[in-house]
Amino acid sequence: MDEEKRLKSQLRGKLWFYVESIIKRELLDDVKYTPKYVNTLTELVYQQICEVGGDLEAFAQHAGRSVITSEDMLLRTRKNKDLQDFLKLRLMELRDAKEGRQSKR
Amino acid sequence: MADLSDLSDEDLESLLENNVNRSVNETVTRRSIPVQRDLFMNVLPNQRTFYEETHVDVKYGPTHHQLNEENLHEYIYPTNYEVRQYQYDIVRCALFENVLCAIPTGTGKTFIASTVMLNYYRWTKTSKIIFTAPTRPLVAQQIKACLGITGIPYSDTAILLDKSRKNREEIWQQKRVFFTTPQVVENDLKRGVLNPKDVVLLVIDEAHRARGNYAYVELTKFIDRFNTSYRLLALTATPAADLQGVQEVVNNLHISKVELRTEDSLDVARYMMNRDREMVEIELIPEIEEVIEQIGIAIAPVLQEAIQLGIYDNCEPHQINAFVAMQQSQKIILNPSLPEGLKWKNFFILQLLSQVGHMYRRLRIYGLRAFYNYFQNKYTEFTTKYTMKKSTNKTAANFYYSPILKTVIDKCKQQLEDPDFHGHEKLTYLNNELRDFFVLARPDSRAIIFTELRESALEIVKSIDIINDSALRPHIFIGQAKGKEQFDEETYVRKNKPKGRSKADRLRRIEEEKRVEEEKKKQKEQAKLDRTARRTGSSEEAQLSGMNQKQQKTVISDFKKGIYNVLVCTSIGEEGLDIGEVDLIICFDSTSSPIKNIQRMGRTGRKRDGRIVLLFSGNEKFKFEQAMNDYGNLQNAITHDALEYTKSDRILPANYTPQCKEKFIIISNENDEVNRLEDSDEVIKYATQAMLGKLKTKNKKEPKPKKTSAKAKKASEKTFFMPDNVNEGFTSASSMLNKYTINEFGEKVNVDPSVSVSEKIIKPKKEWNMLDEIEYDSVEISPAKSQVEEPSQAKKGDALQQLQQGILTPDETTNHIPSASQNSSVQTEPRTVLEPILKKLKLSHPENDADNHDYTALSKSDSASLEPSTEPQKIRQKRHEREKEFDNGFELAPVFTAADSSQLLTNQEQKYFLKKYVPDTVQWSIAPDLFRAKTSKIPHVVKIDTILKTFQDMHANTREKIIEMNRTNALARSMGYNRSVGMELEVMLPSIIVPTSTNPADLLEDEDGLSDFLSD
Repeated sequence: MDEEKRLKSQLRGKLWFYVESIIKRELLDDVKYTPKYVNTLTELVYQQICEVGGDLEAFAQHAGRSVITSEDMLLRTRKNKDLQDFLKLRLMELRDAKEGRQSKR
Repeated sequence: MADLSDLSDEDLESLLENNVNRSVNETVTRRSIPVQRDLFMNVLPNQRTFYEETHVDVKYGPTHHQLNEENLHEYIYPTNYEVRQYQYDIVRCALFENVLCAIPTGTGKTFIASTVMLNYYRWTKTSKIIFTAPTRPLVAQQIKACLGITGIPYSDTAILLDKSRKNREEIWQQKRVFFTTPQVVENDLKRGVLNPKDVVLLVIDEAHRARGNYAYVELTKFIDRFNTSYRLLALTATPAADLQGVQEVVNNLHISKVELRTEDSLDVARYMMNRDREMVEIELIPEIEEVIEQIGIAIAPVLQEAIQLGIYDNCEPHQINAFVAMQQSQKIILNPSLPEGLKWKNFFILQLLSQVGHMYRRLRIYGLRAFYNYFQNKYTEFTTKYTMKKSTNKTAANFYYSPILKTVIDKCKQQLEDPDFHGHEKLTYLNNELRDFFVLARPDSRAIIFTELRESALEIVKSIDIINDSALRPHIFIGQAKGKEQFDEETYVRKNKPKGRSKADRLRRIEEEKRVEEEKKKQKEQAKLDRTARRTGSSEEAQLSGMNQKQQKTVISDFKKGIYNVLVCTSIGEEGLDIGEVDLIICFDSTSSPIKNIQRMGRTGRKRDGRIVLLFSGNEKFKFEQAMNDYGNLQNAITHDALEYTKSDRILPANYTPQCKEKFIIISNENDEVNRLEDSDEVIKYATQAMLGKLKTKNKKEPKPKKTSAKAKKASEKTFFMPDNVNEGFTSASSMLNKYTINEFGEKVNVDPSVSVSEKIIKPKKEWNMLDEIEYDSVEISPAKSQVEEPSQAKKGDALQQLQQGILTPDETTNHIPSASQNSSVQTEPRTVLEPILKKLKLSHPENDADNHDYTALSKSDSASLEPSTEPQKIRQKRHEREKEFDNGFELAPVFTAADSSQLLTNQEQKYFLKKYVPDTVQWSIAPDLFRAKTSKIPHVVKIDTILKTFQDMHANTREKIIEMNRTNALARSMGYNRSVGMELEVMLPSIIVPTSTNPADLLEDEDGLSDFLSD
């Protein structure tokens, strides 16, 4: 149980870091933000991720798999056309890169 | 007399209001408006929940003044002078309403005042008429006009200017028409010598001063407490500089109408003398341009620094403005977030800039000489302090010790040593103008030159004197304040030198001081002698030491006689002085105040045509035009009804509408005598004598027994002005206690019915009684309490009781009861008050309407069984009826009127209610059934709930959450730190436990992608 707690807070910490770096990147130079803001945003993202995670798990199970694949993710994002397209594109790139890598090997 | 010391001023005032003939009925209607709520259906704070309309209805009862009925059917309009239409119109208004009469200077304000005074004199039998003006000459003017035009007999008039307090007392009693200053009236009112109820007409001259706490304001406030049935006539040439100012005057004086005429108004322009106004723009002489430039170079680094520090707006050095710099420095001083060191550094920079701004202003407007004096003064002050190490202001040192400045000043000095050199082109122009004017002018012509600086005034006098033209005889005319002490280097050095500690040292110091003092005296004496030898000596003398009233008077009389024919004035000459007729006005500088400008120009063109010359340089023309434009706009606004007025008493009974009767008034010899006098002092002297019956022509009717009366007055007691039917004398404490007995219904009944509550509002003390309450409170069952609380307790349980207790303290409720039992309608009062609260309660405890009805029936039977008497029964019945109305959702919440409540509640109670219950008259036009709203009932999804909770925690600063937040933050930091140092991300990542039976390829693929995705 303690292990899980530690893990969770570690994850949150990592999430915070990324959220904050994205905020930093996206904000104008002279706009400031408070830690409270980052915290709430992190929480929001965390909750969203948890939900997505649960969904993905359910999808995979429904498909009779025990491993979540990129298809599950595409299914999850079916309502968000733009995001789905983006992910598809990304996936293609990754596949290409992998093939390249594999061919190098 | 009841002890009123524990009442606030407002209470006192409300008590007094009861016996003036004005009745103010204020009706407040409130309507609820939709409010913004958050997701939990809580009303967001800081918003108005109701919309309020206040309707004030002012009524006047019949006046208390004794009216002279046979004169009421007509009013007299003197036709001794030409009848002017606007005067005629204004007089007609001013007789029946409180009028603020703003007409240009020299258009006969005094005539209007005189006519109104005459008519009130005729209409009333004993009431007093008071004319007030802020200065002696103005009073004299009015006396002259009033006696010369209207022929009010001397025996009824009095001038209260040079009278001692003792004498005044008798005069107030004997006479009816008074000419005086507002301060005298104010003092005598407060002393109790003049009864405010006697005043029927108050004329206020120069009414634009009725702002802040000037005597005019205090005066009207005081009279208003006792007497609302008096006419007020306010006269001025310039109401105020802005609309707010006018509104303030209108409020203070209870004006109900403004009569405004400008010089361009059609009905006025016809009678105006021709005023030839010339505006001359003067170029700066090259010497000044040069100095401006050089100073600009010297100050540039300081200005740059200021701009960089962000404390001064970017501008060219020659645009530095003293006023802006001053404002900025004020702002910096008041800014608490600045560290001290920086604050003072900035302050000194701005101070220097402001000094430079002043230098520029003087250079541009007044010329080199004024600049040089100012500079020299500042320069010696600074250098002395600096060399003595009292000041370590590096920025200022750089400026003042700058070599550029030194050469400029030296050059300046050289130029100024030549007495024929004019420090500004304006001076040259002014001299030419004066010379040309007096060549053509009549021998009795006079000229006034206005300037704001004393130094500049003296410079003008000197420059005129140098021309040595016998036709020009100038003198300075300034206020009595002493000239500002120049910075004295020697004294400063001596004062701040390191002092010896020993006795010998001290003695030596005292000796030295004495010596220096004597030397100075000698020097001054010598300078004085020197000055008297010169022709402009007296002007110079005056510039240094100021002119006291006596000196001012002699100068004015000399000016009138023609010994001097050019007067150089500072702002003192602008208003209120009886300078007489002037043909030429020269404004050496201009002010941004339209009032000042108009008053200046109003000095001429009174009886014959005049000429005004305005000299502008720099941005003065712009400033002047803007000021005059603003003033024009203001006048427009006033004529277009942008003001709020107060309704005033008509005084005359409504069945009289006096007709105008134009009449040539034959003036008695004595009165006519006044018309021939010119000097204000003579007028006052003559009139005073005439009023005392001391004129030779008049029989000595009443030989004044002066000595005896003085003795008698000593004994006269101080009069207090109390409300009409107030109890005086002593009352024993025991008689002030309320004596209660408990009747068979458990109600308190007053033993002494004469002390009924509603009758004696004047003495709130009487029914406010702690002793009895304590006695009853100690008894377990307080009969008084139970009456109010029982129903509510039964109704909403403890919650409501608490609520109610919070609002009505036990004292309050119990105190309330005796009056309630006498007056059944009072019972409804707390009910009305409770309704909104009940509504609110409903929100939290949704209840069926049916429940309510059930309950009503229940409580009805309850009360019936409890109290079989008929009287209380009725009250209950009534309340239940009201309750039903309410339950139907269309309850008729009564409009709460102040007049209403004053009958039902005592003052204190009323105040308490009004303070505590803001929504006491909220009308729920459509009662929103908010408790049925569904959203608040359905719980959120866990995710939304968590997020909402996070928001709430962040908002409420929940401790654990903040700690958690900081921990996460720290984790993130350490991660970021490690990363930036260059450690592998995976090293410190938590080891993520991956289920074993997976396709590693798939995982790898995604994970790679993820980290790539995130790291860019």
